[in-house]
Amino acid sequence: MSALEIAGYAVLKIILIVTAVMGAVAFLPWLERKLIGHFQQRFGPYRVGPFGLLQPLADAIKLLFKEDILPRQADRVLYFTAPCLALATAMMNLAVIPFGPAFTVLGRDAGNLQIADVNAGLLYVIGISSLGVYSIFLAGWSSSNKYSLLGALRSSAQMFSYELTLGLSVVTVLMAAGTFQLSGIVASQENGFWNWWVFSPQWLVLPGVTGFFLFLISGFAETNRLPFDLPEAETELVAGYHTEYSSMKFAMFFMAEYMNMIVVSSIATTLFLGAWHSPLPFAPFTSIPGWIWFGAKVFVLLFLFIWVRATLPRFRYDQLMKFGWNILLPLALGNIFLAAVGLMVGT
Amino acid sequence: MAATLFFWVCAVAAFFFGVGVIVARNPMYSALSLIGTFVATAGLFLLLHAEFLAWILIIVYTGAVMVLIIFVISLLNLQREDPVRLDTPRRWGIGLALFFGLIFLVYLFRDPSVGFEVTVPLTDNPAWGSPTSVARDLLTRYLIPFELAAVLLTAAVIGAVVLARKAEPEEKSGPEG
Repeated sequence: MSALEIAGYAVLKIILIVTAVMGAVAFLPWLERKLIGHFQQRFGPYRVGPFGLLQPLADAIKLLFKEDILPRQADRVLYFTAPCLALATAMMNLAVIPFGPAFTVLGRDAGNLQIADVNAGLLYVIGISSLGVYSIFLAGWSSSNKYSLLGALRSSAQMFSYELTLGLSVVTVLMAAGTFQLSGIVASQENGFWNWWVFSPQWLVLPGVTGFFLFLISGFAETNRLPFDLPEAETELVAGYHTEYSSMKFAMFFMAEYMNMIVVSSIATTLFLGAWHSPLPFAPFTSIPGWIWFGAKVFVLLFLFIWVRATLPRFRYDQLMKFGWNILLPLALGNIFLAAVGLMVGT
Repeated sequence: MAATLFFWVCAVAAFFFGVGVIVARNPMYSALSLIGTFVATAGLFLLLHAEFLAWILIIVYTGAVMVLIIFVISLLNLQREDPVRLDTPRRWGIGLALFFGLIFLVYLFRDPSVGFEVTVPLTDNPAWGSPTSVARDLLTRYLIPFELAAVLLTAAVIGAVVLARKAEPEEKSGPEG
């Protein structure tokens, strides 16, 4: 394949993936409000369009027309950069996620439905997540508002505390698959759901399952979702790091949070749930396209995110930090040890 | 051709961010320029096929060390510094002499077989910079330095915990809240 062809396919994949994910980000708030409404024995939005489906559009129009405020003592450059950085780091993670198997365009092989199959794909994901801390911190600091700064400090400390557990919990998958490359990790999970890394190693299911739940819990903390959303709880520090933001800059933080949810769910699906492989390796299940399986699994995890939000109360900040450092981190380290022993004994 | 473009973008960015670390008046801008330098340097490492090192630079340096430095800067409420005074001819002279002297030293000790290619594999092994080969070297050839570094880091962590502990209160005030 010539370089121009490769570049062309990459552009096509970028258009497909970014369109799909932006569409998901647009409808995720609707899904969340509907589900939380039903969890709380009431309807969610139902007036605006059928089943309230036009509610996100109405919200977007409202946010566009709001006054764009710039606090007088705010640091202009950083104030403008922070929401852009938030959205940028959320979207950069999309580049390495394998959404589907190899597909053909006009009869020619276009490779996997994955924008960039980086050799150290897993390290890329962890690195981009660690860059996401800066957007929150810069937002809080540049607003020159003590509540924003406190919220930003709390949020950044929370994020990089749980990044440790996030990174350590994927080591079980890494040991089992033997490669950092995400397409390799996906390829090693084919032929049925019992081969998915959530159940690794097969004879001792515990390390994989523990790793999966540790990853999800750290994912809740990374995306500042309940029960870890103290930094942006309305009853606490006004609205935390995005107190001083209005209109489209606030909308960008909002979109970045939902996009981070989708990214964390996608990474969990890729690493633990077999990405685009169908659960049962025979027809008719294998005739369903891979990206539909991927979307279904991501949907289940997003439902879990929203379900937990509707159900659990939030952690107090000292409880949060204690949980992250005293409970999750030793658990992740012990899990690595257990997974290593399990893999060695199993062979 | 794409590699050349990537190299020049990363190199120029690293240069200007590096200068920005020194020249910025606001200490927060200085720290952010350092972050920019690290990201640009990670790009240069990628060109040299040292992929593990590039991502570890981002994860550890920009993702952890710089976050802590920025915490410290934001909590210290530092005022804007006076700008670096670059107006005397003597300072310009010393600076330019050092700059060109360093470039001349690099030219003296260059490898004559390397031209102006921007991505030169340092060995013939295609898996050279991958995490697998780095891990293999760390756990076989360089095992003792690796373990000694781990002992050093553990000592540093213990020292930090001891230094940061609060003094024990004189009397217990009841069950912990």
